[in-house]
Amino acid sequence: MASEKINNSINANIGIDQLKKDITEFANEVVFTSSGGSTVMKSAANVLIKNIELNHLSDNFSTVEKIFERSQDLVIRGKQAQEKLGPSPSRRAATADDVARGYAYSVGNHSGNGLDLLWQVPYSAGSPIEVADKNSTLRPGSINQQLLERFLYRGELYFSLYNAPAPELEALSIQDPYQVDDPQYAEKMYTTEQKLEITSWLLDNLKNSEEDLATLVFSTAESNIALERKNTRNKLLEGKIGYYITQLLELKKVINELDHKEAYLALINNHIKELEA
Amino acid sequence: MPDIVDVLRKLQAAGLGGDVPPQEVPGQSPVRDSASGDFMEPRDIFHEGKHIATLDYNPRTGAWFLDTSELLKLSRVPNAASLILAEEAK
Repeated sequence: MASEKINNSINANIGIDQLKKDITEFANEVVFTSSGGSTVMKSAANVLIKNIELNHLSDNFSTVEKIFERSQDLVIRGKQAQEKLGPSPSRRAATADDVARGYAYSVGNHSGNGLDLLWQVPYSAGSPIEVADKNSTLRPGSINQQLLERFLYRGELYFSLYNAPAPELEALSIQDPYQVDDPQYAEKMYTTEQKLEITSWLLDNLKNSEEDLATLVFSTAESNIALERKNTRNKLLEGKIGYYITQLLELKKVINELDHKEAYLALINNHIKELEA
Repeated sequence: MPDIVDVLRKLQAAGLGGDVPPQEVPGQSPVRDSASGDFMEPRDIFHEGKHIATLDYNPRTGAWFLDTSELLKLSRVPNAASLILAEEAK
């Protein structure tokens, strides 16, 4: 395929527009001289040139399409995050009973940069130690509701089994979804050798019989439709770069909260499973 | 690994997703090649370990852009052309 002949060599200096112009002129000449203007050969030439162009565009996107997809996924996740989280529980000062039941490490104020026991969110020194109030009005099924319910259940279950506060859960290890590989993007260019290879590929295909050329037109057209669809999608995603930047900056906090709470809920549920076994 | 927002800004600066005003790209001030519309790359030219000038280079077309003060600085270096050619080959 033509795409296999594409790379971005340091010596490449032929742009796709120039390449397309040159091979179109070449193809017109071949069609005219070898077939006297056969419409089948002309169609084959057109569809093959279109294939080269579409593969070029697809290759150009190959290094960046994952970034576009990740951006889109994150924005969708961020837009849904508040809905998934639901309202937060109200909070109250931790009591000695909360400590005994494993709902808080201690009462009073944080003496260092500690963690809130329920959400495992860092708290700075001197801030009051609070726990989520189990009488809070929460939306059933929301992450906040499930987390509070499962956290309290875990504490009570552990207490009923061992007559001691539930132990601290392991530290969360969440990969920042905003961290991505850095793609090296550059518009693809062609060397003279690559241009020659593509031209030879075109000529070899045009040498086929009319019957084979007709088959070639249909199969290449099918491939072109798939490429066109993929490129259109990438083009649409590319056009949203500015939107993604704004949205991702706005949604970072809520995406982080959702990731954090979902991971913490999974930890609590695993511990409950162990206790219930 | 870089933050996705920084990567998107870099792609914008490389010409994807439409035009980006230079001030929207923190830490960078891309200059466009007025002939091709491409963003230029700033390239530092050194001579014997000393910085001579920062020139704008279009890697796609191979074009270099310099103003008269940069031209003057380069004229004081005996092998300016070979320094630029070496930078072009990087």
